[in-house]
Amino acid sequence: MSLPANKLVFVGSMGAGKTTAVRAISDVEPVSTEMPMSGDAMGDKVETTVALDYSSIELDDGELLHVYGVPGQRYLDFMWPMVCEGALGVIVLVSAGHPDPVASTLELLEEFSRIAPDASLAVGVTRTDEHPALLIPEFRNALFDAGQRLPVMRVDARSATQVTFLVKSLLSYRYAETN
Amino acid sequence: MVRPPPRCCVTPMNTPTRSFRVAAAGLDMLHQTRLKLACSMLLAERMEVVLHPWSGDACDLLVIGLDHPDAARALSEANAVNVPILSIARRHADAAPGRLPHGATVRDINEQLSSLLLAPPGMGNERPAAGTPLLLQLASADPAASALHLLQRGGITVLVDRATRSIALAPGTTLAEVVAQLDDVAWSASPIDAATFRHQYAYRLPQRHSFEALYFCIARHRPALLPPVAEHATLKLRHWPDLHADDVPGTWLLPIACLHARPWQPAALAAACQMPRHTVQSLFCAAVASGLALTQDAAVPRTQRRKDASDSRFFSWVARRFGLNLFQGAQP
Repeated sequence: MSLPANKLVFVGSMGAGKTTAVRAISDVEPVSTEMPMSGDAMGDKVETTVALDYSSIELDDGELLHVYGVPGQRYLDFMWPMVCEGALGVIVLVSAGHPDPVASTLELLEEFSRIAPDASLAVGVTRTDEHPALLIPEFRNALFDAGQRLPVMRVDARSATQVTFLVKSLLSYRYAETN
Repeated sequence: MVRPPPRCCVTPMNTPTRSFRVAAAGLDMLHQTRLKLACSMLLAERMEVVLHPWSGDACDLLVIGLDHPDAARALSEANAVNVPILSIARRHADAAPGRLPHGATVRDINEQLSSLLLAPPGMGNERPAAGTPLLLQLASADPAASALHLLQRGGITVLVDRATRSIALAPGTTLAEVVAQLDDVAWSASPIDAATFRHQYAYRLPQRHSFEALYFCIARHRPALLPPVAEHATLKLRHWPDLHADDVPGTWLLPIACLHARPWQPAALAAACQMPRHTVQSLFCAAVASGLALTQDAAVPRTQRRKDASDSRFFSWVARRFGLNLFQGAQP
């Protein structure tokens, strides 16, 4: 009997808010591999994840939902298949300030659709307060034109309410697609 | 003596609370205290008033004591920014709309506040037709027409940008606040060019919300303002809407996901998701108003995932942990 899909994965490029999002919804302080940034700092960001973030959320009967945050940089792609094995959902986070948010999101969506074909995907756009010019409908329609039809929404990774809302959207989407 | 017409005694509880900013200038202690009391009594009519000293900025009403030496300056400033005025002065022998004699009672002030705050202002050509809020008229107009409009109502300013199908708001203003006052007749609108907006308003209105987000927020707070949709309409969502946790309850996500997956009629969806029929009807109205509704199963790809029975129990735990009770609803 196969194990149930028991992982939730956040992926995105540097500064997208993966570590913050994992922390926002976790029961316990995540295990992180954050290191001081060696290059130019991004705003108030002084550390970056060099491997992954891990945490868990306790469910009924003491079962655990494993929550991962993995960097979207290509040189770390060797860990993507390991982390995504048995994932029920993958949430791609992208900063509204990214120089090419559509291309970077599409690249991750296509890659993770291939790596985790049974996982449901959703997109969270962070930092829209700092970059209000990025409007969700326009961004979402660009993803759709490239073949991706999925939940896309604004999220403040610091807000447990908003990250939870994004996860709820992913779960509702997965449920509706499979029933 | 001229008095405003008597008001209806009871405001329905489902009427949304409207917020107003009232400034005061030149009032002595007696009238200032009575004004505070009169403002607080407006809550019974679901009118929430924030009272503050006159600063020269736009607000919904200025209550001014004309007997004070500085009154003339405040009066002039208020007239310059078109702020309605309620004046209190010894020289006013009787009450009249916008004026009260010295010694006005709390009741007198309360009645004047109510009628003045709810009164339509003198507006130009862009006064809304009855029934459709001005902002929605502008949002649904041809995008090729003048793209930017600045809407103002007291302390609230909204930019309507038809080209990007979005509105811009001040940092402290929420979509729900705008929606609560959407059908107020006191909105005024003026076209504005991009350069003027960029130089004079962009920094004051840094928040952007799409029309989609606006329509779904209206569906939550003021669904009667959306164009109605037939009760037997069948529709599907072209895309996942632009939803935000602040504006849409989590309980709406399941019916939205269902509409995203395949076409539904309101009654069937309400039954499947165990939601009130009127709530689902509101979702349909928002879907149509925002342009996201597909009235037939058009060529939108559907991702059919493998249903794995071993996942169901664990998935239901995950859903419940995040506050969703998926497995009681949405079975077609």
